[in-house]
Amino acid sequence: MKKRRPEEARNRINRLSEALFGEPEEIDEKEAGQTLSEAGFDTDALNDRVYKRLYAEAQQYWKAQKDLPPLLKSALEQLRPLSAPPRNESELVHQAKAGVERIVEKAKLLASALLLDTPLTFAESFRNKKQPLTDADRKSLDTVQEQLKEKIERLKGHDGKSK
Amino acid sequence: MSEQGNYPDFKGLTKRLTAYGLVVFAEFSLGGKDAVIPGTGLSIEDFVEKTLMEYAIGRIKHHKSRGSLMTVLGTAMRNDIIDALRKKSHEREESRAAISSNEDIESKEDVKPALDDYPQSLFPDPSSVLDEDEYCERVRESVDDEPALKEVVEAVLDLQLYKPEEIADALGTSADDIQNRKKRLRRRLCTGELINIPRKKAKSL
Repeated sequence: MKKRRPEEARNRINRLSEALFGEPEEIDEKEAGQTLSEAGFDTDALNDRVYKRLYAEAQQYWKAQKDLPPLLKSALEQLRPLSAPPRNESELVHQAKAGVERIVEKAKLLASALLLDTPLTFAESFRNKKQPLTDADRKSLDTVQEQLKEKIERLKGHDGKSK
Repeated sequence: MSEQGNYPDFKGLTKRLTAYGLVVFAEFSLGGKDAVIPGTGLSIEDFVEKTLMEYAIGRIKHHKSRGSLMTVLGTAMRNDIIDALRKKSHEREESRAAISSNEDIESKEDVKPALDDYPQSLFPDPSSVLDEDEYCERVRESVDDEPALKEVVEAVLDLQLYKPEEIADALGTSADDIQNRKKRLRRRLCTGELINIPRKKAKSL
């Protein structure tokens, strides 16, 4: 096979990738959120990492008594962690608002986890059962067990994300 | 855009770039949140940080003629990832050559090669990172069981159709349907379908 220069080879693979998996632009925030959550990423931790890196870069400018590039300044403002002490009243309000929103979000998650998708029905069919379980009984019990497992997994997932 | 007016939304960019990083890593058989480029320790987050930092200080400039901001940043990050893989592969090639030329001395003195010189069976070998044939082969294998995705892969790899409209025409469907299938391909990629297909070891070891 013809030997290609590295740049040429890279461009060809990039072109194939774009045709097969799409351009970076095609990943919107919704898809990105879903992908990251499934892969176990914590978006707050990601923002914190980027903030720290940008903050370290900003220090070079401060040390040299130079103005920050506008994009860097804006990025630092946007990514500033909620745990950082507020520097003015508007930041205090913003942090308080974000804090309350998080609590409400968690409460909603908890409520949705406690409420079943299907209406509750009281099943007493197994209470006084004397005969051995039939296949149908086992199937019903397995279904209930699976539903409970899924609910627990969902709760664990939400809990992990919110940390 | 962010709440701050004309500046981009950095939180959104961080999220989207990280998701794109997952796709790129998976394309080269590096899967999951904790994946790093073998021998460098560089993770997806490292590349995202670097790209955003370079953009924030003006090293990467965005001109509308080059596409959307996300495309410009995503492409820069992708090239960084490929370069890191390629650079590592050169180091490996050089160290392999050095090892083989010193084979006799090593066998006499019983010198153990450095940790990085051992074959890293758990990781892909980056030496074939730009091997187009291997890349295509792995993509094909990953969709073997899904006809709708296989059709798209064949249209791109065999018919060399790159635009969604061209692929749609060839398959008798709509461009939207092709976009949806590409989304499914990305999803498959991120859930490990391509990651689990090992690279050819014979070539690398």
